[in-house]
Amino acid sequence: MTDPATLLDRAQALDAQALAEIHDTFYPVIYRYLSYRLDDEQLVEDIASDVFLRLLDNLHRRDRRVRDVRAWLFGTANHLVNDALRRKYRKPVEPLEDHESLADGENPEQAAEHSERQRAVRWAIRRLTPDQQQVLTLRFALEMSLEETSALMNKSVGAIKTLQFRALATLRRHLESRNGE
Amino acid sequence: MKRSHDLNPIFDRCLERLQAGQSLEAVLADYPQWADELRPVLEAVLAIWAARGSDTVPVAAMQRSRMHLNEEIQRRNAVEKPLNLWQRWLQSMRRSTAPALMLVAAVLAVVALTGLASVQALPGEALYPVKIAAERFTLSLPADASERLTREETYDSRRFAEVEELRQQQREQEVDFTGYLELGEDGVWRVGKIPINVPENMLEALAELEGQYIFVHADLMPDSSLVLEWFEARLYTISGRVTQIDGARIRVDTLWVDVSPEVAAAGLPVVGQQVTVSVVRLQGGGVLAVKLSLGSVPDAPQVVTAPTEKPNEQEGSGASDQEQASPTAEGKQHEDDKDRRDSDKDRRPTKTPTAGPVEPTPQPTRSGDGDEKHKTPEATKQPEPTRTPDD
Repeated sequence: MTDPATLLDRAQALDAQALAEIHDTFYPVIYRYLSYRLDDEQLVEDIASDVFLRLLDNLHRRDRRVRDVRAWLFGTANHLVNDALRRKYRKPVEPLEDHESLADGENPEQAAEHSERQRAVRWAIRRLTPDQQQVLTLRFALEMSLEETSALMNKSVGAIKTLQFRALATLRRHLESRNGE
Repeated sequence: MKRSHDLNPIFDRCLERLQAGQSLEAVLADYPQWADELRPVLEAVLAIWAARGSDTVPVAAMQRSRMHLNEEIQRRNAVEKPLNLWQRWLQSMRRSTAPALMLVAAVLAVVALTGLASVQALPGEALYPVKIAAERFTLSLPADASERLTREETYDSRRFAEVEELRQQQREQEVDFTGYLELGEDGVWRVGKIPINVPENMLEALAELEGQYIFVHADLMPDSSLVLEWFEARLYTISGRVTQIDGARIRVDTLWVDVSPEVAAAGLPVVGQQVTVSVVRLQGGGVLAVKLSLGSVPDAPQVVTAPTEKPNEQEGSGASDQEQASPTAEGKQHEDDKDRRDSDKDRRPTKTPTAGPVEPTPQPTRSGDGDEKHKTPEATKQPEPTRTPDD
């Protein structure tokens, strides 16, 4: 990957190749982040696409300088998710079936079992507070370090540790309650 | 809370061991006292990790997103060509300095508008002091003798025009102005053609200055008449370096000055010498020195030179000259003379200071080799003061 600062400078001039490189580098991780926080596959795709259009819009208008493109993308994704969740709370809809796909080497039984685990975890995560959702997604779904998570969430490392511990404890309770149903 | 803080490092170590592939039971076995609290959270972590295995990203969705992004880039590039680095820098500079520039522009606009408005101001109006202050400022700027005299005459003309305007508006106001003093056949004294009423006790002193260029302080009445308060010969103080000497004439920077015999008798300067001269205007043009202060003498001996051009071409007119004007080393002297004149005005003398009786100008005495004589113009009308108002 090109040096991020150089890439950002080229993107600032609306260089299509630089923007495409940013998109291809960060789209997967942004998509995964969104898929942990939202249960609507179409909404996840829409928001993932919207995050990059907003980056383009920001670079085009040049009203606020983007210094760290990854932090900017996650921050924007988080805001869009929170907006979507607020809309959803105002007007609840039945969730669509989770996206299912067969991982390499899985038989249908294994796939069904894995899919059920995945559904349960995501269901439990979505019952957490937005901060708890974000910290668990970044730390354990996207495997970011404490320092990276701290920077993206604009919190101290100590605060992230406390937040993630409480989030995990709550997640565990939600999983237990789901299993008990 | 303390328990949570104690748990944090243990939790981190447990995570590392789980990531390294150890079982949950093996990890918890090493921390039996924390096992009850660690188990649920570590199970939650394992559940997330287990669910993570197949969180694939749909390739089709990624392609659609990229296509959408490309279309938008092309659309925006077609609408507006992006600025280069230099243009962006300028834009950011404009954005960051815009408030300061606007403030400076506003201040300059106010100053400029005030200055413009003050040009039209008349005595007694709010902006008139601004006008006078601006004129004093320009008089304080360095200038050669000719330029300095031109400026003073310009401002004298303004004072005269202001009085004319006030008379037309029939305002009641104290005024200052300058002009040649004349006694008309109708017995009315006039200064620059403007009639003035002269109190009885001033008639004698005033008569001594007939024909001279004088400064007048008077009360303007609503009927447009002027009552004389006090007056004096209008003196201009100029400083500069003597660039030529022609008989009883000296050239200060680019200005030719006639020197009266009385003044010349006290000694004429040499070429290159710094001088400060108090002069009066002559009706026929030119200026006459009534007081001469000699300054520093140049190191090298100077030779009196003959004029290279007709003196009349520069006389008292402030006409341009090809010679470079000397820098004014006598700025302080300028200010002192000006302050003295101003304080004289403030005193409003009851006895008129005089520049001497008006007599036919005698032939100037010789200077240098003494053979060449110069007859000042307007010999029949020129004043030849024997003392200055400061004396």
